[in-house]
Amino acid sequence: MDLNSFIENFAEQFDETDASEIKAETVFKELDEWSSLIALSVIAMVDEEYDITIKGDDIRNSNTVEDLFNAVKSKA
Amino acid sequence: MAFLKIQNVSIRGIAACVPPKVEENMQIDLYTPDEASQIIQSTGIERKHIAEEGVTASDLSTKAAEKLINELGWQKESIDAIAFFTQTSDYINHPSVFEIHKSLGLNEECACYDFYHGCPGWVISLSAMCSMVSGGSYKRVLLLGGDCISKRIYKSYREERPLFGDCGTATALEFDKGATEMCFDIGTRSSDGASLIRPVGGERNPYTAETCQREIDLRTGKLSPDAIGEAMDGMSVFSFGITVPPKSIKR
Repeated sequence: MDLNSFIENFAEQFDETDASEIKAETVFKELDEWSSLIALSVIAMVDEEYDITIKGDDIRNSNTVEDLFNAVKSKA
Repeated sequence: MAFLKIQNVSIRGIAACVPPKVEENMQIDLYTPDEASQIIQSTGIERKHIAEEGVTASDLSTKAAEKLINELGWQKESIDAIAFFTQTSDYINHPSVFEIHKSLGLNEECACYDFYHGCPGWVISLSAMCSMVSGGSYKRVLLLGGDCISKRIYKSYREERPLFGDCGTATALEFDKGATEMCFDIGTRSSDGASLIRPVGGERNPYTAETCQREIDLRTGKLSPDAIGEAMDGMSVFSFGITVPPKSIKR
């Protein structure tokens, strides 16, 4: 599983936030556009792209995009 | 594996009853108009019907059942059993199905069953009641159910407020040798049950004066569940919803 493509997939869930604003170290919950609906899109994306089921706690316990990537990777 | 194949049962009709009062999701003051439109777009829910104080799921379901019985032309004496599924019973210590039995004026030879489930309440109880009818001993069964959940949700909880309205339903089942087979694929994800649990107020953690007041404050919106960390884990429920049921349907 590749971090850069995960970041790309993650960034695609946002409409107004430019993809260049989203990096491995981005604290995603601090992004203006972040909301519980985006969180749901991220869960759906991870299911779709990686066939991995993440739960609310995986999102809650992650600060950066890379944290979330690691959480997903650990379930692969 | 709980995969049921049931023969000899027909669904003769379904009726539903919603209360007249409506809450528009655009009008909820927890969201900006932009947020509200986004929620409506993602959920498809524009508005919900909300029961008046004191109106329960059994009331709405009874109304639906009366309509259904009339339209099918069923004699009440011909109903062998009724079942009721809800999460919002009329009383703490009395199965609501008995109240329905009384309101519908059914006779004492009619059996009553109560089910307590969440979202899959209709499907679970339908599978149970159809299994009973399938053998031919029960010829006619009415399955009632619904929730008046709007009183129980926490008013200032952003994740629940736009989703839940009030409704009661009735489904008529009849023994029928020519009926198409029904299939039920049933499973139980109890390990994730904590995502939806309300920990206080039952026998495990009975209300104290303090927790009871807190519940009232949560229901009226004075207190936010996010503030005290007692909220439905909506993300995990969603995650279950998009992964498990699609696989089941494929089976």
